[in-house]
Amino acid sequence: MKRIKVALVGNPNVGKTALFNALTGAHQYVANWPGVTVEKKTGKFTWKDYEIDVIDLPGIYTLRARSIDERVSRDYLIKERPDVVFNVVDATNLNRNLYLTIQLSEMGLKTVLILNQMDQVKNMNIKINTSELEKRLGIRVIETVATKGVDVDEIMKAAFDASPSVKYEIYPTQFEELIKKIENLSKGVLKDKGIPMRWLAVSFSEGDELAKKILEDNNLLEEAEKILSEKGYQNASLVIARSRYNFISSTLKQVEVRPKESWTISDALDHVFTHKILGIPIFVSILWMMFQFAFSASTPLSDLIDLGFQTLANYAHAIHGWVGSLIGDGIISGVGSVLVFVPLIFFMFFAMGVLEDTGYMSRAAFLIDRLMHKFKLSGKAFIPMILGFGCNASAIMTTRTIESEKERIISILINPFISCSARLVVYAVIAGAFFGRFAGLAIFSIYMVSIAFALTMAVVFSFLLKSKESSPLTMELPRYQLPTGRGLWIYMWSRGKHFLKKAGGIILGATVTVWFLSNMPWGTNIQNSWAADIGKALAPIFAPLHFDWHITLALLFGGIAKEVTVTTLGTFAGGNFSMFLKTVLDPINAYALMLFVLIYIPCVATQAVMRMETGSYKWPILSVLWSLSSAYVIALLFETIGHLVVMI
Amino acid sequence: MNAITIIMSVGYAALGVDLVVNSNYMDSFVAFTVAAVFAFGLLDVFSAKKRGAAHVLTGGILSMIFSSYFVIEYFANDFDFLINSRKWTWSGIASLIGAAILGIGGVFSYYLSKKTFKSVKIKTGR
Repeated sequence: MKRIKVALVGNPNVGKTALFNALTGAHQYVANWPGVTVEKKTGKFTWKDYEIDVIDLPGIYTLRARSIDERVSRDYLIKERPDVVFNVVDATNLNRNLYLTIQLSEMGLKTVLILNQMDQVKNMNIKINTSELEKRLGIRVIETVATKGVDVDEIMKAAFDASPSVKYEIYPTQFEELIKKIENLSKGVLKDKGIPMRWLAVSFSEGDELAKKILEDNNLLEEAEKILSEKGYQNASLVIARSRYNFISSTLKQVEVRPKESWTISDALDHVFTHKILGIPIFVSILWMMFQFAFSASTPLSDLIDLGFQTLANYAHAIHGWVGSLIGDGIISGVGSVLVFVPLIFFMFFAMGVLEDTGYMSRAAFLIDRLMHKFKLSGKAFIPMILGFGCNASAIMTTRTIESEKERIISILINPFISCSARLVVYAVIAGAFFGRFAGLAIFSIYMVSIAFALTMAVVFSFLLKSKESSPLTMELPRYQLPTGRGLWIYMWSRGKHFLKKAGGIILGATVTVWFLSNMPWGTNIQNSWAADIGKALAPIFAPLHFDWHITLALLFGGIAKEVTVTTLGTFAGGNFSMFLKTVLDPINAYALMLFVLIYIPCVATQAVMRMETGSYKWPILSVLWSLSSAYVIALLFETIGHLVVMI
Repeated sequence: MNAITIIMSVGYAALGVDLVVNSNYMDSFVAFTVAAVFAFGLLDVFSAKKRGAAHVLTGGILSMIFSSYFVIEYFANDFDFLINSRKWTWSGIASLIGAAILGIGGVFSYYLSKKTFKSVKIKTGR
């Protein structure tokens, strides 16, 4: 079997991942907002006698890469040289998308143009003459609606029919001559290095740093600069951009007919959702409905699961000796205390999926952008923050879209302050025990504190890292659309399954450890167990916060994964959280504990991702120390002020 | 369209007050927000009909979302009460009926504004 490499390249949010899924049968999450894919993903499929490797690259507008995710795409195209490039474009916006197509041709890559979202083209009454477009661009053009599946045969035949290289001579004659001169100059030295000469010459002319570096490393920089200055083209970026857009617009005049511009439903919704007065209250309302829906809708299901676990625990207790105790008090009470929140986690991801798939997420980023600048962050940093509500570790990876390194570090450092789904389980237990019908409001308030605290920390870190300016947000607002059941299921399952995996792995392991420590020496009372010894040894540190040894030990184990806080308490509570927690906490302590859990140390997985993304141990260590001390101070302040207010 | 805008705006304001009385503060915040979306639409209707229609359209969608959310929340809480106390409760039924009626009003607002939105050719300044 022959192997070929196919790369999916295109602007952000045009449907590359949807095409990737359609070709490979994978179930990668597809979102209706830009910046979802921040690293290259690979998949495989077979077609006739070929084994085809498909590489889904992060979205890029041009090959002049600035952020890490853009560099991943650009470097892959230059260094790996795929056999074929599927240039996926949003067919409703060819004017913007074809800019990259021209650059790909300058790279000498065998390209097939995939006109995606053709259903939207029809809805918007746009007419595209595909065969004329094919003729004018000199490359194969295929129409698709990737979310509804694709004709693999048609696409693959086009891949084999594609011309090896197409050259558009679109620049002014005088400038074309200079490009050819630089090409010839480079050819002599770089011939065998596989670097596309026309791309090198044009990119250098428009001031691309990578092109400049390649020429410099090969001692060609001075001469190339001399060539450009001959005719006064030292900075030709404007000439290049104008020429490309002229070419695109003259091409589109011949192939595309658009109806007269008018307001669409998306425009109408944007008018209100991004309104300067109404925008923020709508955003807060939507967040509230999202959290309260997840909390309310999941509660009856959680109660039913809890009843099931209580029955199971009763059966387990019928087994005599340590086995009955391990199964009943350890595994069922411990792991069960977390598993009852599976509906909450899934409902929360369902609500988040709806928010993302409808396209509202980008509007929220746009809306918050102005506020973010006040906190020395750009709206781009808002997306990792929102994703942090799901999982901080994966959200940190999306900071790759942020161009400024300092701003990126700040975004990474503040992300653990955004309350992830693992912490939601802890809040649900505490709020359920203490705040009755206001439990949802208590949890929502913690999420609001979480955003406020993260933004405040952004200012502090900006000051410490001397980050003066935040980069501007340029984001295309995607069309609003109704979420699909399949998309929501993929979203919910891909995130929720981690929770289930954790329950069967790290949480189970930690629960058994806690049970063991609570029962050793065997036959002793829990107050005299090894667990009590460890908890009591550390308890004086937390005494000012009024956290007793049970809570101290739960927080200690919660450092591994936040859900373990609940399983540890579950082992002590023996199935009745509410009664147990009320013996060790009052409502003010309880809220202080929620604040402490919100802020204190990021979980091990988040620390590992921080290390990977920053390339240094310095930042995760700083994050642990900073968050631990902040959590202590905030919880102490809240308790002191809270108790004082109650006394008055 | 003016009539439905006024009805929805007043309706949501009234629901907001009812929810405050029932100590349901965040839901009342949402209700007042939807009322404001319609009210701002009313202001816009006089200057640019399409901008006004945009408010009614968005208000209609928000109204449908809020209504669905409120009904789910109400019945989920009641089921939970049933599981824990073996009793069904109808407390807060007036708010539920109000939210459901306003949800239906949201559907009307949506279709009515969509129609206006397509037919009116007034320049909006955008």
